[in-house]
Order: sequence, then structure tokens, then C-alpha cells
Amino acid sequence: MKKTVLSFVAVLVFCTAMAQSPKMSPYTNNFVSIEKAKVDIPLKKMYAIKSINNMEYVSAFIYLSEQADITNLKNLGVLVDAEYTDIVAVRVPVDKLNDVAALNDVKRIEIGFPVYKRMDKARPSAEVDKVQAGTSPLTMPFLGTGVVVGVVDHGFEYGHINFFDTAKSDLRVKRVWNQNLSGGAPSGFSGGKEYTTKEEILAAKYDDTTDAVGHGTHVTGIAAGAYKGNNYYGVASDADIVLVSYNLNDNTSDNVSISNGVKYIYNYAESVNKPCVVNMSLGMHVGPHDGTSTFDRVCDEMQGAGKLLVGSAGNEGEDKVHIKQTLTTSSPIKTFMGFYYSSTRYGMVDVWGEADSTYTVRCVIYNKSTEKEVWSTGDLRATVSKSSSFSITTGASGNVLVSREKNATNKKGNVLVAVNLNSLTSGNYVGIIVSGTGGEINMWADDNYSYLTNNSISSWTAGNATTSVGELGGTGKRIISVGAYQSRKPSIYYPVVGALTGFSSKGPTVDNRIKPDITAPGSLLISSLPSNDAAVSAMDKAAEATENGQKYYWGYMQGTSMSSPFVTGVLATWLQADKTLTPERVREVLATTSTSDSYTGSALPNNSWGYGKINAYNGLLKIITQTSVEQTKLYPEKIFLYPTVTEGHCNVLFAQSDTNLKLTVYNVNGQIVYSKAIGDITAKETFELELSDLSEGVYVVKIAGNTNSETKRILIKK
Amino acid sequence: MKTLHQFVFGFLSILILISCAASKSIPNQFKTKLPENVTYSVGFESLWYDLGQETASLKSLSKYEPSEKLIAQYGLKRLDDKKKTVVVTGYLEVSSDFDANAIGLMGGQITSLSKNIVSFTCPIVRLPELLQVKGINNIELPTRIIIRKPITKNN
Repeated sequence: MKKTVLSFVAVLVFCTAMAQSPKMSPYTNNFVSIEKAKVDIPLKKMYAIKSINNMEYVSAFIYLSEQADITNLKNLGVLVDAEYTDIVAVRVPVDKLNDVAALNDVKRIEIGFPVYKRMDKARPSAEVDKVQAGTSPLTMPFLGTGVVVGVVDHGFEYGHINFFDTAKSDLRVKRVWNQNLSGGAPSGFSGGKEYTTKEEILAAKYDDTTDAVGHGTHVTGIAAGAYKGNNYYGVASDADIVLVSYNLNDNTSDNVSISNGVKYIYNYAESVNKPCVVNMSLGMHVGPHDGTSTFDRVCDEMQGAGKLLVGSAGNEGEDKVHIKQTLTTSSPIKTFMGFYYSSTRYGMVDVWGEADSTYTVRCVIYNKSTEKEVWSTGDLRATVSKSSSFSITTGASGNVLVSREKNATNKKGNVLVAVNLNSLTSGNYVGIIVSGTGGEINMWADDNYSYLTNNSISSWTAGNATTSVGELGGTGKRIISVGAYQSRKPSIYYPVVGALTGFSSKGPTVDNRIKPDITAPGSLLISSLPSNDAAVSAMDKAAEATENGQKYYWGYMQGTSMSSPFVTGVLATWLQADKTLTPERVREVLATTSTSDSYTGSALPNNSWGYGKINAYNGLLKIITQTSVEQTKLYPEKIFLYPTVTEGHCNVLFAQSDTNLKLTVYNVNGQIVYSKAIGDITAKETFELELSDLSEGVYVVKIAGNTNSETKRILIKK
Repeated sequence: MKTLHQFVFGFLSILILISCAASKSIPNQFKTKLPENVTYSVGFESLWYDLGQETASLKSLSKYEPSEKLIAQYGLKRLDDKKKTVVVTGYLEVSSDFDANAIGLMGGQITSLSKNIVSFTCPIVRLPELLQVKGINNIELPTRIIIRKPITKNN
């Protein structure tokens, strides 16, 4: 490595002494010089070089004179990918660059900047450390400054030291809404209690002193923890934090409370004019799993520029939770409910058909040895809107509640079967039988208490983990759904660091969208845990610290509940760079900068890994410099600014004539730091932009005339 | 004497008016059919049916309190007011002429979530009046979420 760096430095010194072609950008000239010197530097890794039919090409823009004949380029072996007025996007044989530059018709050559995909490296971390350190070419750390991180969860210690700033003096938790209390709901909402000041938040201390898990504290610490007294701080350690403790009753919540919580956080962020990313480490398997649930629809609409939502894909990647089968009259779908707890035989199965088709469902008590149904609800038609309760009278005792309707949004017949047994005679099983000609049937068990099995009877169907992504966090069309890979200490069950965890739920959705969208570290993560007695006695402790006489704890957890806030924190650092990020733009960045390796494979995206493993650093660079990944698909704009990483000097090339042009430069705070009235310009004119007086950092350059306008981002690095 | 009768009559009238004002009668409409211009989730239809069953003998709902069984079954909530009013929550799909203020006037709350979906809170005894509010297309009760058990280090 040292030898490579020294060689590169030596070559650079050599290059500065050589004559430079005025038609080539400095970056292009450097490349030509290094290539000519034939030094042993891995050029492909430093410049965007591709091999095609055993020849090496470099992608470039070439600016041509009027009436240029591109045949002259082609005669030199140049591959022309796109033509735009007098600019062509090409691939040039590396050994022909000088010949191309010598052509009379060539006005300028600018080779493309590479983006490092790191296709061949397995990286257990997501390069968050580089983002937090501001590793070059970054010139400052990105910690989610000026961004709101929202968490909808339960089990919070609001004033955990991890939620203060690094100086341990300023509490970053700015708002709390505990939906379980009363006496002061937030404006525009009903129920619960809101805390709006540091004093109130610290005085309240916990949302639930009986909570023995501390899930919300752990999740928030991963996303935004800042305590530097140990190594377990989070990703966006300078973000503001807003917490919503969802309405919890007997270990259940509801989707309306959750969506209200998301809305509350977005409202707060809007009120303080900050971008926001909300984390939801929640999921369930009641719902159509196709993005049409009311919850998914409202969340899709709430998201937008500067309003992101991240959810956990689910922990059912190895569970028998789902069946998808085509129904025919001769082949009913038959499955049994398996119960995880023999002491509590309770469970739900949710059945969905195709739009405007029908089928029937019956719940039975089935005897394996006689192969007979000893009790049955009878066939219940899916599209009849009705709730029916049945007492089991033979072969078991308990009751079955069947609710069915034709869903008003997606027009699909839906049957929800809830079974609650007091006893089950040995040799008997609870069966679900779907009959008719309803086309494709999808059904899910709740997986908290029950699963789908065939009890080793071949004519019955067992569940699987396909489409095991859950509602809430895993099925919406805009939410970023996160799977999990093994990142830290291997357990006996998931021994391979870097591999997908077995529990990470898989797609696709019922409407065949790939899910999850991305994966992140999810096993085993150490993060903050609350100090209430119930949590302390139950926690899997990893560390503790005493600050101002108060003890604080950190412990282990695993699940997509942990990988989701990891991505939430990463997106907060991206929002710091671009407050207007949309879910769609995030997906574009994920698609082109995520890490792929021997575990993910190269066929991405897929329904295990999504786009691969999140790479916080590459994603941030992409967002800052707006470089395109595939150089052969560059879109030459009418106004071209280069280079975008500079010591202070840029060139602005106008591909078209324009009038009344004005150039304005803004800093990241939106303040104007430079302004120039350029006036009228003719096509192919170049304007030299001198910004050497500005300090290092990211700037936005806006160029607007009567005809065209462009906005570019540059990074000044000295 | 006539003056005395007028005085007594007037006094009693005032008393009756005060009593009426103090306990405004809310007619029991749970046994009536659901309006047909609105679609309902099966959960809401089931709640409506069970409310009809539970209030079968009541002419007025002013003093009605749902049973704990009903509250638990449908995830109803209690507000923190003196009466601990039982409320129902859910989603409403609405059109542009939806009158959110009307729900506020009956002691409820509307939170706008998207262009045409709001979440609502409504005292259970005012539910029949909610169904008469202009601009409601669909009513959906909340779906219960069973909170996932955490995966511990050793499982």
C-alpha cells in the first residue's frame, strides 16, 4: 500500500512537469500521463476503465465543434453511446486518447469519475466510521446534524446518557409522545401525553417502568446514540430525537396508533424546518402484504422530500409463516395450525384471495389416525362481510372467530381465523381448509403464537418463509424495508460474520415487488438499554457506565429491529447532505452504492438482500457529488460544471446559447456565498468559476438563464 | 292563589329544563341499519352489531358504558376526562366535502394522514352521529398488532 502511494505521488510529480493537452480536463491529463508512464498502479480502480473485447476503454464526454463529423471519432475506435447537440458520450480506447484530442473537431475531452462499488470486497461494517470521521474526500463528519430521527417504539428511557450530545450536557430528545398516558395529548391528536421540554422529558424518565425489554432504548441508541465512553454509540449521533411510545395493551398495539405516531414526528420536523427519518421496528402478518393496506397507503403518502420512513422487514426468514398456492376445485388448500406454546394454543391465520374472486374457508378439528374432520365451522364464503364465533364441541375445547369481507380497497376476499383453545385431544389438529376457484391464495400465520404445518401428512401443506416480510415495516411501496446480516460476534446459530441471518424475512410482496430493499448489521448489536428494574434484571448486559451518579446500561439484541435503525441513522447522515432526499432517490442511491460480496452474490436486487449491504460512505459520496455510476449512461446537461471535487476552480461549459445568466453559490446552510451576473453567453463558451476564497466543504451552484437552469453540488477540498 | 300556581308551574318548568340540559338524551341508534352510502370494515360491522346487542334495552345512550369485554375485544380506549369516556378509533376514507369540525363538536378528534384518509377518535355513544357526517366513504377499525418477541442472544 505504502509502495503504491509513493509510486502514485512520484508519478504525479512527474506529470506536473509534462506538457498538458489544453483540450483535456486536468483529470483526463493526469490519466493520460499515468497511463503513458506505465507505472504499476491499479488504474482500473482509480479511473473508470472498462475492458471490452480485450481492449481497454475509458468513458468520456467529448465536446465537438459545429458541423463535426463523428465518423472521425469512430475511425479511431471510439464507441459513441449518445449524442446531444455538440456533446457526445463515448467510450474511448485508452491508447487513442491523444489521437482523439488531436482531431480538429474535438474541443474538449472529459473522462468520467469512477464510483467505487467495492464489488469484490466483503465489508462487515457499512463504512459508517468513514462517514462519522469525515474521511476524504469528505471534509467534515456527517452525524445527522440538523436532522430529526424519529422512533415509534416502546421501552424507552428518555434521558439515557446515549441520547445526550457528546459533551453529555444537551439532551437531544426534543419531543416525546407517550400514547399510553393521559393528560395532555399533542395538538391535533387524541390521547396520550406529550412532553415538550427537557425538564418534562427527564422528569418522566421512562414510558413504562414495567417494560423488561427496553426495545425502544436499544433501537434509538443504534440510530442516534452518542455516548463516547464506550464503543457502542450509534450512527447519527448529532441528530435530534423524537420518541413516540405506541399505545400498548396486553402486548398488542394497533396500526392506527402507529400511523398517528409517524404523523406526529413528521409534524414536529416540519415545525422546526428539518428533514426527518422515522424508524419503525414493527411488523405483523395480518394484511394483504401488497402495499394496499390503509396503513401502507397513508405512510406512502406521508413520505416525500425530506420525509423518510424505515421499517424492519421481519424476523420470520426461517419460519413456516406463509403459503401461496393456486386454488382449483379439485385441489383445496389444506394446512394445520401449529402452536409454539402448548400452554397457550392461540393463533391467527389470515387468508387473501385475488381481486374479485371468491373462495370458502373452514376451520376444522382433524384426527390424524382416522383422517376425519371431527368438528368444523362449515364452509364460510370469503366475500360475505361477516364475523362469526364458533364454540368447538368435539375433539378440543375453545372457540374460533372467523371474520371475512371483500376488502374495499383491493377487492380481495379476506378471511381472518382466530383460534383460542383450552384443550386439544391428543392426535387431533386444528386445520384450515380453503376451497373453490379463487385463483392465487396467500395465507399467513401470526408467527408469534402459531405457524403453518402439514404434520407430516403429504396431502396437507406446510408453510414456508417466502413472502415472510411483514406488514407495517416490510410491504409499503415507499418505506425502506431492512433485512439483517451477521455483523458482530457470531452466535452458535448464525456463525458466519457477513452472512444473511437466518431470521431475516424474505420477499417478494404479493404484488411481486422485491423486499427487503437493503440489509444492514442486525446480529448481534450492542446498544443502550433502560435502567428500570425490570429491564436491568432481564437484560443481556454488555456494558455499564456511571455519569453524574446515575448508572446506564448497554446490552445485546438481534433482529431486523436492530438493522432497521442502523439504516435510519445512515439515512439521517444522508439527509444532512441533502435535505430534499426522497424515498425514490434513496433507492437509487442504494441501488448504485450498496456493497455486494460473496454472501450477497451479484444478482441484486433480490428477495433476501435487496440491493445488498448498505454502504453509508459510498452512498453519502454519491449524494454529495451527484456522480452517475454508469458512466456510459451520462446525461450531458445543457450546462456542464466540472470538476465537482475541486480546490476552488471550476469550469462551466454552456452547450447552448442563453441570455441573462446568473450564477449563485450557496453553502449547506442555504446562505449565498458567491454571486455573478454572467449575462449573455453563446454555445460552447466556458465560464471560469473561481471559488478559492471559500473554505472547504459542500456547496450548491445554481446557474440560471432565460432558457436553461442547472443546480450542481461541488466539494471544495484543499 | 293564581299567582302561587303560576310561580310553582314556572319553578317546576325551570327545574325540568335544567334537568334536561344536564342530561341531554342521546337516542340509541345502534339497532338501526348502517347507512348504505358508507362502506365498513367487517370489524366495524361486528362492533356495531355487538353494540346493538349490548344496548338492546336502552332508549338513550347518555349513561351507557360499554362492557369491559367489549372494550377488550375491540381495543376501545378511555380518555382522561372525568367520565373516562370510552372512545373508538380507526381510519376514515373521506371525500373533499368531509366535515371534520362536526366530529370535533361531538367530542371526537380527526388527524389528517393523507389526501383522503384520516384517523378518528369518537366517543362510543356518538358513533351513530359520526355515521351521519358528510363526506365519509369508508370506516375501518384498527388492526391489532401482536408485538414481536425479541430474539435473544441464545435463541
